[in-house]
Amino acid sequence: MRLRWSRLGRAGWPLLGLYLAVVGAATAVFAGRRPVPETSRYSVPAPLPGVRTNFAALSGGAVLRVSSFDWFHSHHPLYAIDEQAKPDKTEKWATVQKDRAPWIEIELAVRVDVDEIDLVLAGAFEAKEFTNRDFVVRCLRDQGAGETVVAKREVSGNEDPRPKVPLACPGTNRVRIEFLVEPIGKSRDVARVYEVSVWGKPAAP
Amino acid sequence: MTEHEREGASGREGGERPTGDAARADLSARALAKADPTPREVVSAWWRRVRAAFAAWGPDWRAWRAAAAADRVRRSVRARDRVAGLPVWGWLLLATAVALGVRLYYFFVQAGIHYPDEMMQYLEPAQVRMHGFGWLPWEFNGGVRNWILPGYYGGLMELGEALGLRGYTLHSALVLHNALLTLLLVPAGYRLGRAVGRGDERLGILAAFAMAAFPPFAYFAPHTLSEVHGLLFTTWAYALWAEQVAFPDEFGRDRKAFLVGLLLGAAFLCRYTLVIFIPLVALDYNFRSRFRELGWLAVGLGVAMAVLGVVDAATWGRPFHSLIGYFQYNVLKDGSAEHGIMPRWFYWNEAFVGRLGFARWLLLGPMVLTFWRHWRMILAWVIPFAAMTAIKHKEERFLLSIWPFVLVGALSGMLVLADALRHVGEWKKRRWFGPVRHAAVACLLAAVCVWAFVGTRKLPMRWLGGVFAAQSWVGQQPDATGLLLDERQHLNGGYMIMNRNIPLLQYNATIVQHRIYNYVAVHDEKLIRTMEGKPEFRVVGQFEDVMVFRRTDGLVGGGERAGERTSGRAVER
Repeated sequence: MRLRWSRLGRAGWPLLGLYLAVVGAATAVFAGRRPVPETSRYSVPAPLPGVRTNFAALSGGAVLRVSSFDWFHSHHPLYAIDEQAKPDKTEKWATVQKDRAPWIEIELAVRVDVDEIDLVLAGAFEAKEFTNRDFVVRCLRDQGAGETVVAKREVSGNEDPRPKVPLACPGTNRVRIEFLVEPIGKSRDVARVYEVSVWGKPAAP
Repeated sequence: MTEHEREGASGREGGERPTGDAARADLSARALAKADPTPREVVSAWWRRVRAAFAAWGPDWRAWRAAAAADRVRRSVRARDRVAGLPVWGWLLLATAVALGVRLYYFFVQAGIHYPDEMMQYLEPAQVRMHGFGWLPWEFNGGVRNWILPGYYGGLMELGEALGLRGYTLHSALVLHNALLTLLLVPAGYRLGRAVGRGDERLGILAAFAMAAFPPFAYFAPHTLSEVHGLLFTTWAYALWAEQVAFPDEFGRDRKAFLVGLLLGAAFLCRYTLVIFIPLVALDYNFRSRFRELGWLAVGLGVAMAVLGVVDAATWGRPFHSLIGYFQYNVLKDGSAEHGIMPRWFYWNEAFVGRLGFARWLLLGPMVLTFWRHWRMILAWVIPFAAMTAIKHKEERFLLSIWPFVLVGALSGMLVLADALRHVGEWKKRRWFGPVRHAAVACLLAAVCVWAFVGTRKLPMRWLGGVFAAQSWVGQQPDATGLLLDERQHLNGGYMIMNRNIPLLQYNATIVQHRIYNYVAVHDEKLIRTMEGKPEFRVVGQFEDVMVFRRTDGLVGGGERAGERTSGRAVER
């Protein structure tokens, strides 16, 4: 003997199927995402022409993209451009251990004739063995298919916690720094950056 | 000769004196034919009738049982048309309307959270996965949680953002979605009650109304907690299982057993402690020699476990990584005790005494007095209750899944006692006595719900509601570069509510000096006075008891909204 169901009851099954199909499709889209953390864009005054300035500053309207950041310990990437002279140990950008190719990209508010990139690494405020030794600095122009590498400098064996990298990059609007990290468990298995500065003058239009 | 006497005279031929079972049936018929039998005579008459029926079918108890089941189904089918003048589907629609009203009430009255897990265990991980920024608790650092519910909510968030919802409005949409999802408890309760009542539509309808109106369900419904999904899965699983018990020869028993396994497995994936609902069903199949159903139950559970294995392998790099981590942390190391040890009788004191008050006896009394009619329902909640009581760390939400079985067991008992009144007193002859008996049961249910409503008001209704609203507002400010809260890292709406990729930290007197934190939201009165005394900060907003301060010398300019001041309750829904 079969229990009879009303039409209303039987209609529940196709509705449930539709709901599961829609949510399942949306979940598939969600699962396929590979987001790149990016900070907000702020409106700032235009830079003074001909004046050498740090363009990788929050007050200069820079936007950051990073490969990862250690959210658990709140090592937010914005700390790398907050121009804080005496930061707390939390106030640095640090990556997660499973990020084996950490990088940070600074998108400048305007095109800049860059002449120097300065870093403040972990050794400036923590133990010296945390200072990242090997990194590559690239100046880039435009994005996507039209991207051009304006200049590149590789730094190896760095022991200076405040390295200054002179690099002439005319008409640059992005600077990318890629770190080479050590195996997990070593002192330099993540990138730790307290500050990044990109010095230059606004490029001629 | 009366009809009863004719029935009792089966097998008797002219002049023979009835003996044995026929005699007993005769006696029972005579007892019922009396104008005013005593309760003892009623019980004796019933017992003699049962024995006579058993004897009539002979010693083949399986055939007797099958015939009784078929009889129940026929009664169910016959009764399907109308109950108290209304078709069954009409009652269910009415119950759904009641459920919707109660849930909407709790949706609009509540704000913030009931417990941090609803943000940090499900929505915030989805936020991190979607947008690449957020804050995750230690469970996702070590892999003690699976990504199934975060993935589900991630899918819902994708749909919400496609419709233009973000931050607090997206959160409101998600909790409203959950509240509406729990409307599925109504048909589940109906099927469960009807099955427990062996085809009694009245019990099904009453159970539907209980699921609709019971305040703890409606209170927890608008929260993104795993217990809400676990409640739905366990209730439906037990409803299907109860139908298999009541109607064993029902068509599609393999499919039902598979669904029972799949639903219990899904409940397990939502919350690993819900594994405690599986043994009763498995043992019941076993002891009733329903080995085929037992096999399909195992298949259903296996499918759920396979899903967990695949998801864990894809997210944590190892199949069943989260389950192993959970077992190691909670079972082997008793790590849950680090999060608080509650007294042994916490669940009784909070869930029954605190929430129901005296109404707990209105539920437990009838349930216990007529235990033989619904002993499975009693075990369905007593076993999890005992198991949860043995765990040191207790929270009332962990017990949410037992309430459908408490309610159905209690309603079953109430109906049995109400039906027993049919044979007592002068009133049984009155036409209005039937409706009055049923109305009395409905009134008891209503009294339980009213008492539970009063008890539920003691639960936090707007915890962190002001913080959520403040975070949402700060996240919309174009100049926000950092926010400090006087709450710990997991006690706020997270980046999902703030919807802004800026540092979010707990306030302290040192870091507040740093210019990157140009917004501070505090509700502690001492901190508010401290902030008011800082010349570089000024008040720009108030949300319930949370004051929002903005730094005047921030790193970036004000933007068009920086000069505004806003105030009001947490986002009005």
